Amino acid sequence: MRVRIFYSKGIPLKFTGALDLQAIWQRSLRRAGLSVELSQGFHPQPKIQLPFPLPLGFTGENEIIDIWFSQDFTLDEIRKKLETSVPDGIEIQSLEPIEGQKRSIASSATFADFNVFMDSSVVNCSDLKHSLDLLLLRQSIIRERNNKQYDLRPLIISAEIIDEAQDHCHLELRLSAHPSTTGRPDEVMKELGVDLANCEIERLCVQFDE
Amino acid sequence: MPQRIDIDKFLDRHLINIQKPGRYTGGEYNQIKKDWTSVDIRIALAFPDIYDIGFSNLGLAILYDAINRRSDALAERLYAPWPDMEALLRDHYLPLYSLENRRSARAFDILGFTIPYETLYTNVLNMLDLADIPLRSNQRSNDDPIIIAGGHACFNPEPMSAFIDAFVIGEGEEVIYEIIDLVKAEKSLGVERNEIIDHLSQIDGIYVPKHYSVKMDESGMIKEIRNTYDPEKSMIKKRFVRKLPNPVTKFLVPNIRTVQDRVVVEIMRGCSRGCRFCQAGMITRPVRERDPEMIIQAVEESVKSTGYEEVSLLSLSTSDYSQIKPLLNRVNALSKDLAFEFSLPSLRIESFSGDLMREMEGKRKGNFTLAPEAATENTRQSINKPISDEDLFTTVEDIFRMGWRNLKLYFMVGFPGETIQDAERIADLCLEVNRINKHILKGRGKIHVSVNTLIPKPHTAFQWSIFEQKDSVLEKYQAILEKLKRSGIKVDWPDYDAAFFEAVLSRGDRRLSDVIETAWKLGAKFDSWHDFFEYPIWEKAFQSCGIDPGNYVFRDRKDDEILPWEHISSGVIKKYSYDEFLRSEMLQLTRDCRDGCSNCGIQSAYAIVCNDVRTAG
Repeated sequence: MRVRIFYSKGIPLKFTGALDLQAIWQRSLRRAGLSVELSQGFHPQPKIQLPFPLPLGFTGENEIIDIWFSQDFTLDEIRKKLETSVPDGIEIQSLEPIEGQKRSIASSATFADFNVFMDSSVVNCSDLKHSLDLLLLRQSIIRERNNKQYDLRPLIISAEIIDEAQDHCHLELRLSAHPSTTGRPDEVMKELGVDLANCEIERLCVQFDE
Repeated sequence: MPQRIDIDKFLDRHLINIQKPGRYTGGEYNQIKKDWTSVDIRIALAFPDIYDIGFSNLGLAILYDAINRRSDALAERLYAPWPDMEALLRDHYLPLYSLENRRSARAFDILGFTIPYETLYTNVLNMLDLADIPLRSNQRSNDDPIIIAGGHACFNPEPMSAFIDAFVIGEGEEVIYEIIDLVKAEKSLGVERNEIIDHLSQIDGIYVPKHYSVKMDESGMIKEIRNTYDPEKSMIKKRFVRKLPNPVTKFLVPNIRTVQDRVVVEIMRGCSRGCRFCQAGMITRPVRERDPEMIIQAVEESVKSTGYEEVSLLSLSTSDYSQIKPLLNRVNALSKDLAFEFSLPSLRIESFSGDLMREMEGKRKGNFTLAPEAATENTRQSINKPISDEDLFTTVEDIFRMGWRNLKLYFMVGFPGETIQDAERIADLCLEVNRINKHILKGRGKIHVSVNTLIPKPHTAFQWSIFEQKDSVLEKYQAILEKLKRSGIKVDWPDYDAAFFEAVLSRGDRRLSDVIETAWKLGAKFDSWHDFFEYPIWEKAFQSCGIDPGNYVFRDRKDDEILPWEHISSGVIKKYSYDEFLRSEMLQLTRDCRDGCSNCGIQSAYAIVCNDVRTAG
C-alpha cells in the first residue's frame, strides 16, 4: 500500500539535512508502529522515498514522502499515529493513496517555488530589486558549484520582489527542478550578493509530471 | 547578556554557515524541555566533547532522566562546540547555551560535567570560559553556578581540583537527589554559594578539594593529605547503588547522525574478574546484575519509544552475566518481533562458548572483538587474565566457523618485566590466528590488531608500576610490524606521546591544575582528537610550570608512598591492591570473586555481602 504524505518541515528541523531526514522518518514510522515494506537486497531498508531532497537550512511546505506500507492502514490511522511519533518540526498536512503507479516521481520534477525573506535592516530592498533586474537581463550567469561550471540563468524561470514591507523584503522564485538541471535559491542569493545568514528560504512546493 | 529570544534568532540566521549545525539546535525526539520558571533547581549537564560523541553517553542519559523526573528540578544539556561554532559564539559575545531552553550555562544553579576520561580536561576549561564562568573555583562569585564533576576520571580528582567545586566520586543515581535536596533547601534559606559548597561535603561520596591541603617536598613527593575543614573525615568513599535502578527507556533520538545512536541497556555493573590493569573493574565493584525480566522490558520499551534499529547490551563482561543464555534467547525473539539488531560488547574468550554463539545464529555478522591483552600465558597470568592459548584458538575457530569474517584483537605492551621477545609473541599469536583464518575461511577473514601501551591507572594493582619509555615501546612496535609484514593483518598503534600524556594526566597531582590551565591558554583543546592533540603545547606548559611530567610515570613507587589519590577510596583497600601488584610479579593468579572472596575490602567497607548484592536487582 503506497501512501503519499504531504508535510511541512519547520524551523526545528531546518538544520537537518536530507539524509538525516530519511532516518528521522524511518524512526518515526517505527515509533508509530506502522510496518513498512522492506527493500530487496543484502541490507534490506524500509521502502520510503523522499523524492525531492530539501537542502539543509531551508524550511519547506508541501514536502512529499512516499511510503510503502506492508499492511493496509486507513489514512486516518496513519495520520493519527504519525502525528505523535514525528519530532518537532514535522507537521503532517495531508495524505493520499497512490494506486496503480509503480514509478518513482523523483525524476519527474519540473519546477519548484521558493519564498526568500530578508530582514530589510540588513538588505536594502530597492537595491536588491535593481540587482535582480540586472540579473534577469543577462543571457547567462556562469557559476561554479562542486568544482563544476554551470549556467544559472536558464534555471531561473521567474524571480520577483513582491513585497517591500517595513521590516522585510520578500522575493518569490520559481526555479527549474529537472533532475539534471536543478536551480538552487541559495545560488541565486549569492549571485545577488546577499549573505545567506540574512535569508530565510522556504520551499513552497515542487511541481512534477505524474 | 542577550535575551533568550536573541539566541533563537541568532542561531536561525547564523547556523547555516556552521558545519553540522544540527549539533546546536536541540529539539530531539524525547527531549525534555520544562518551563524554566516552574522549578526550584536547574542543572546543566555538560559533556566536554562535541554533541556527536557526547550524545550517546549513558551516564548523562541516566542523570538527565533522573533529574527531570523531579517536579522541582530540570536538567538541560550542553556539549563542547566545534571550533567553527566556538568562533561564532566568541565573535558575537554569546555564551555557551543549553540545548533545551537555550539558557546560558551560567544561568543554572549547578553545572555538572561528566568526565569519563582525562583527555577531556582542557575542554572543561574551554566550556567554563565560553560560559563566562571564572576557571578557578576560588575566583567564582555568588552568581556563578556550582561546578560539579563526576565520571571515571574523577577517581583521581587532583589534576582538576582547582577548577571543580565539588566532585562526585562513584555512581550518581542516588547522590544527585541528595545534592538537589541540599542545594534547594540552602538556596531557599539564602545560604551563600561558598557555604553551600562546604555543606555538600557532608554528603557521602562528595569531595570538595578546597577542604584538603596537600603537603609536598621539593621533589614533589606527597608528605601529607589533610582535610582542614573536617579533620575527622580523611577519606572520601565512593558511592554506589546497592540495587541498579530501572534503566532509562526514553532515550533521546537525534536529528542528525551521531556516534552510536542506539538503545543501550546496562545488564550488569562491575566485574568480578580482577584483571590487574583494569581500572573500571576495580572502581565499579561490587558486581550488580539486572533482573533479566527488567532488561527485556527495558529493551522493548526503549525500542518502541525511540524507533532505534539497534540495541546494545552493556556491561564490562557481558558473557559473565549469570543468565546470559536465557537473556539472549529472549532478546533474540524480541529482535525478530520488533525488527532490531543487537550487539554484545565485551565478550570474554573463556566464557563465550559455542553455545552462546549459536544464540546469535542468523544475525548479521559484523566485527568480533577479542581482547587477549597479552601474547603469552605467563604475561596473562601476571595481569590476572588467564586465558590459555588453546582456548583462544578454539574461540577463534568457532568465530570463523559461525560466519564472522572480521576479527579484531586487542593487545597491550608495557607490562612490568615484559621483554621484546614477549612483545614479538603478539605477532606470532596473530600469525597463528591467521593460519586458522586460512584453514577455515581460506584467508577471506580480516584480522585487525590493535596494540595499546599499558597505562598504569590509579586504583589498580599496577598503580605502583611505571609507564614504559618511548624507545623500548617503539622498538617493540617495530618488531611486531616486521613480523606481520605482508601477512595481510592490519596493525594499529596509538601515538606514544598521546598515551604518555594520558598516563600523566591520570596519575597527576594538584600541581597539574596549573599545567592544564597553561596548556589551555596556549591553545590546547580536544586533546582526545588525534588531529587536535599537540604534544609540544603540553611540553611547553609543563616547562613553564616547572614540572617534569616523567616524574609521574617513570618512577618506581614504594608501598608506603602517599599517592595523589590516596584520600579517594573505591572501597578496595590499598593492601589488597599492593598484594595484587606483588602477586603479579610472582605470576600468581587471584580467583574470580564468584569462586570465593579474596578480601579486596569492598564487603567490609560497605557492610555488604557481594553475593547478595550481585543478584539483588
